[in-house]
Amino acid sequence: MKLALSAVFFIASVLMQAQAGKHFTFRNTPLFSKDFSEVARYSDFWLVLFGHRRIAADIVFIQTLQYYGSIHEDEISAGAKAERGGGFGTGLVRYDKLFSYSLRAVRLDRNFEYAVTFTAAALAWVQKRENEAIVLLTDAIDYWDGQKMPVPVFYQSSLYLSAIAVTKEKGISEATEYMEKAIIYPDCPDMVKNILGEIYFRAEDYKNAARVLEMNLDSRDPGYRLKAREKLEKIHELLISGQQRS
Amino acid sequence: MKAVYNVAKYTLLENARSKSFSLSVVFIALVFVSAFIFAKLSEVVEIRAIQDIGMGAVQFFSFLTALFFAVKVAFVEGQNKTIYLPLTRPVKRSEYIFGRYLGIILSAALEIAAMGMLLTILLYLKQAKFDSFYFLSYFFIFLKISMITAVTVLISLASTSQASAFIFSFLVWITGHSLGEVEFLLDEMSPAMVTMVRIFKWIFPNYTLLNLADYTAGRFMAAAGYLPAVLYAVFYVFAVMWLAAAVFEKKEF
Repeated sequence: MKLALSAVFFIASVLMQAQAGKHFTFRNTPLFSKDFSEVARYSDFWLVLFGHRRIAADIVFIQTLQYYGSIHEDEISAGAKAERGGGFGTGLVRYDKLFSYSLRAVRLDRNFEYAVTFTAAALAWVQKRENEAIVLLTDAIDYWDGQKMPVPVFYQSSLYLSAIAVTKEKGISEATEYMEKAIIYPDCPDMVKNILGEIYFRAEDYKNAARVLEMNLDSRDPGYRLKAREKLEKIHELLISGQQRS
Repeated sequence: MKAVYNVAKYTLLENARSKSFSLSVVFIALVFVSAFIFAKLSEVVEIRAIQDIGMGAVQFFSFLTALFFAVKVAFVEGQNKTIYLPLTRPVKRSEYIFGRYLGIILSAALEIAAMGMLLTILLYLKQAKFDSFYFLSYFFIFLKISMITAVTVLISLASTSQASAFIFSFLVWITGHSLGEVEFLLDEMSPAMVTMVRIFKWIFPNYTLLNLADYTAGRFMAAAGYLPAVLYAVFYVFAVMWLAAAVFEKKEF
């Protein structure tokens, strides 16, 4: 009797498993696929096998931020001057591994859009490596397009792709239209707001520069807070001196 | 049914008094430490990291405690002969094993709820936004724990040592998470291998269907898939537990 009941429930579980499997709309990069194994490390495999894929992606992305936030003497181009603490965002250090780090994080967790947009922005607008940024974005977007999602998501990545493509073809000052749309999102990296503010500042569009830089006054990163404050003071001075001249 | 309830109640009280529950304290420390470590990161990454590590810890610690209780009930009590006392009472062996199992998963539910509440409070203080997928993830963690507990009870009844029961249960946990990962290889496999993988998917708990904690953004499965996934876990538990009851019936202590 017990064995018969076990068999009945077992068959029911097999049927329900098949039924649930039909409704999958989103799958991450399979663990044993080429896409995964060409970027992953052993620690990633173990975490995924224990059911902690997102933790693995988080760890890799935090490593990416640590890597991108520090000076690497062996990655400084000849003739460039760099000081400790001044590496991030200066473009002086090449950060050769930035692309491979972020690709690893993104392929671990395909829902991690912030990792895609943040690194693509850094690669394109700080490191001036638009091609790598485009490869990263298209890798993510193509994967998402291949999923069976009823409503398209990950809109921000497409926006960044457009902005970077325009940057590559016509220069960064032409990409402001797309960057304006990107900064509306609450999870837009402060780096992008800083870059956009800088573009407006250089174009002497102080009103828009001030509007964008004000967004970074409450940034968690003290570096961006300081940059925004300094730039806003400078804008204020320029506007006052402009008014006095006129 | 009353016997099952009484045994479950006794097991729940016994487990609640157990030192294993103090593992939750480790969890609290882990989550709070992570909250301080990630405070310098951007808000998006900080909240995401606290949530993921917190939820991972909820899952891992509840897995460990459930494993410990299941091995204790099905193996250690037989070894220590403490199982004689309850079996002398007017309670069927199947009622006893179902009651014990129910007690263990109720303990796990309590542990998940307590740790989940703590994590939710911490995330709320960090001004995180919650959606239904976040709360549903805890329920799916509970389903995963229920499945592995049933499997561990069965393995422990058939094992000759406590260590082997732990090792096999760990292997089942890992296999359950890797089943969905090999699916894309099916097209390249021989028919015999495909059949084998399919049979493995039926026998082992397929956690790919229940690992919502890895997809808290909600891009996981269509709404129509959730009920079959829950029923799959429930039916699987009953299949394994009735088999465990059959083994327990024949077991000589």
